[in-house]
Amino acid sequence: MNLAPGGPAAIVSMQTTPEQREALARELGLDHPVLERYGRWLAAAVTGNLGRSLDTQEPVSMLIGQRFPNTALLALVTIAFTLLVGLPIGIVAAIRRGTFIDRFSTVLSTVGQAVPDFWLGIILIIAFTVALHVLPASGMVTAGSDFNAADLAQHLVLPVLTLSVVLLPNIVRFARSALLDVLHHDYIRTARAKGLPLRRVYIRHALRNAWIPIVAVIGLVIPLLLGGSVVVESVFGWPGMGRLAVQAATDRDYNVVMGVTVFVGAIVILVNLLTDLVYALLDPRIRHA
Amino acid sequence: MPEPLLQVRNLKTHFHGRTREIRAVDGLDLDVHHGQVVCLVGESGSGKSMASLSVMRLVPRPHGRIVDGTIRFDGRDLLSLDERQMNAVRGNEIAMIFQEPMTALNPVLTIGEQVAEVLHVHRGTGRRESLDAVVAMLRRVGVPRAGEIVHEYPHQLSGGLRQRAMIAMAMICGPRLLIADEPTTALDVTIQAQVLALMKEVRREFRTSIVLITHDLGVVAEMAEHVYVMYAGQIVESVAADVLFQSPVHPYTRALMDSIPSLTAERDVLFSIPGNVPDAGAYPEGCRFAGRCPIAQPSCRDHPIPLREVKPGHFARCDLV
Amino acid sequence: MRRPSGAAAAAVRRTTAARQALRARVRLVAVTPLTGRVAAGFLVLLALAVFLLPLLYRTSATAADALHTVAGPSTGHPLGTDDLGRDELARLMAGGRITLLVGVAAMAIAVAVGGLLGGVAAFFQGWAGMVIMRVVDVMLSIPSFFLVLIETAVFGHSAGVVIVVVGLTYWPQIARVVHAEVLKWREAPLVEAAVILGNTRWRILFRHVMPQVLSSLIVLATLGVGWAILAESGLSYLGLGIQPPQASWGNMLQNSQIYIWTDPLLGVYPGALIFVTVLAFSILGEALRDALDPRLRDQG
Repeated sequence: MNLAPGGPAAIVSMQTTPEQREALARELGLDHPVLERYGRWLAAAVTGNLGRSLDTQEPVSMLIGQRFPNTALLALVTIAFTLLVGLPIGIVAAIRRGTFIDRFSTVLSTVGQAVPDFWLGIILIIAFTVALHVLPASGMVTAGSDFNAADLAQHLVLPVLTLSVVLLPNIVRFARSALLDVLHHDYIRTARAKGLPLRRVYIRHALRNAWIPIVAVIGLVIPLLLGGSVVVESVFGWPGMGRLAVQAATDRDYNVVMGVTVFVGAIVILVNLLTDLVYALLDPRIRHA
Repeated sequence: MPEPLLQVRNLKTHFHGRTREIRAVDGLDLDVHHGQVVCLVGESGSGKSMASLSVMRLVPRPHGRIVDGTIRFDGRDLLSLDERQMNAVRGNEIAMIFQEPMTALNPVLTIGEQVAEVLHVHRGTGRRESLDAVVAMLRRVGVPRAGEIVHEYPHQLSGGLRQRAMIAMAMICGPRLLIADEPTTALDVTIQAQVLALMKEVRREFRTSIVLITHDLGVVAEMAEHVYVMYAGQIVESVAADVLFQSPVHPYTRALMDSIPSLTAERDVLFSIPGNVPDAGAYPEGCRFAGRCPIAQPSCRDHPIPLREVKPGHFARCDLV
Repeated sequence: MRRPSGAAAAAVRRTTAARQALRARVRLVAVTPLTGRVAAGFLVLLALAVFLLPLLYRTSATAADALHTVAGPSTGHPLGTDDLGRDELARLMAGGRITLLVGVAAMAIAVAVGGLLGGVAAFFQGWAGMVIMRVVDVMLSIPSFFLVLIETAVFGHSAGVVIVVVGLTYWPQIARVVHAEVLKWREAPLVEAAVILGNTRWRILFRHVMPQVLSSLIVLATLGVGWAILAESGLSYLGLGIQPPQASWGNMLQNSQIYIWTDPLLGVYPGALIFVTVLAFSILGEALRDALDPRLRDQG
């Protein structure tokens, strides 16, 4: 861990005395072998103590606690927006297979995944802030003013749009393939053989089955979201966990970086568990096994 | 003789492959009279399932299409109906049941919901009435604990019960024609017998005609009054069931009969028809069975063979019999 | 080597035939759909522009000119200059070189490691195989960008580090696909025949099974270069990857963000190039997938 130049040793300023440096090193636990430090850190992490920032000495867990709600807000709004836009496109693409909408959605997916999110953010800023002056370029709220929902909303627009581009291709593709898969099942043929109007077949039979994996995909998409937030928060100066991690990585603040990563890992595990739970609740085959 | 309930003439259903045209059904003629049980026999790939789907106009798009022929049901030309009118026929006047009841039933809806749906769509009945009607129908098809089954999901039922539920779903609006596509193939032998018996009873009670699609000659022997043997998209033999078993005429039918292993006859090797079914995208010019036929002549291969009446009421697609 | 006869030998000969068929398929790639060919053509042009053009266009990418910072296009600088007065066009080309090199190198690592581990895990099973796949699962569940962050925090910021880091982050995805495919091929009669003929298991894996998986690897590698480029530029944008004065499209974007009010175009060029390059790799990858897969099915 101390291999990189500019490691913890560099934090110590030049004006300290050797005794002070020794004391600091002991306090930071740097006098113990690496493996032991890692073991102790792991034990502490499991109990929720993620150590202190090497830079500011604040507890890492407190830093995460401050930043996490901001990231969560961004993430939730993005999910809502992406679902609202992406699901219909995917569904229509599956129903009208082979037509313009279907091909458009495929193109959208490919293009969307190739776009560098940081660049898109900059482009949006150029368009909406520089050229049109309608939306703010950075931050979560306008500095100095009182809390104001409209202000927050304005600040959310560009980051959410940018982050959605990361998710949209996946949601559209997934919704489309989930529905297509369902449409190939025998019970759809049975439903049509019963003389049910197409609309009823799609809604009552197809979607009722397809929305189970679609709900599950929300869980799968969270890691993508968290990864994307790292960059998007940096582009827009959004005070979230991603930005915290980047700043810490730049400053070689290992504790913070590790802490955030562990936290994110825990979230991912939690989300997976929740997804399994949701699956169990929604699918009667599992409910009434 | 009165007009048949279902009269299919020269039905052709083709699929557009990337480079070629697959002729799944290639000139099918079929009659089903009121109250008659007809069996459509053939091996996989003969086009028998696609023929039934064509009658229901459920040919899978985007690649499949009915390209020619007429389908007259109860005096009406089914091919001229629009989608709404056809929907009024499906499930209501012509019903269909399928081979694999587990996948043919919607896993997230209860049995009651799925069966009641048919009533609701075709008769407009409300929830309460439908449920009672469903329970009554389930009882009629021999489902025990019908009152409870109605609230259960397909995966909670056994294969035989599921098939009974499907039959209930098909018959609840009292259709004139029931098309059954290999309804017993996926079932246990003992359950098979039960389901076939149920179908006979249904036919008696509802006076429904049945088109039974199968590759199992045992089922044909048990159920059929008239048999259509299908090969490579066409009918190759059409005759009353008892005649078929006593004196089959077409070499393919005879070969099929020979392939049935017998418990009594002594034989070292199981007989199977040599060769393969011809590729549906590239049928030969002449007789499609010629490559595997024990009595084929050169003349068989140079022109399409028509379906001839070789004896009164007995048709075969062969020049040599 | 003795000449075995019979069905087993036929199977082994079929592998050689399979490899020849693969070569034929590579030739067939020339028949891939139009979009794929356009993408491939674009990439070739890009490579030429980025590697060969500098021989003609001699302006330095690092020479700073404090008097002409953030200037618009002029005769000396066709695309203007950046915040330190360096020529934009030259920097774009330099950035392109780095970006392409890093992308391809990172992918090579990922394919080598992922292919090897995935294949070994699937073919030999056992304790090692299980461990490998567990690691794959764990790595796949952590958002990849965080993995990358940690690794750069630990190992520092340079082109070499970025290559290794990106490669080591992408290998689980490759491993997973290779694992699934090798698992399928393991049961093939081809393998049984090779065993009977007395081949060692390692030889079977590499000479007979892996070539079958080659098509998937090619597709994954192509798509992966696109992903690697995105990862590297993202890192460089955040200041954690390629460091200035060395140019990378990513760090050029970072520098440009401050100047979007005065010269927004500086922010457009590098990003547009990233976008178009990644898109080209994606399109090419998908076209290759379409071209190689159905043919595989027809042959089998």
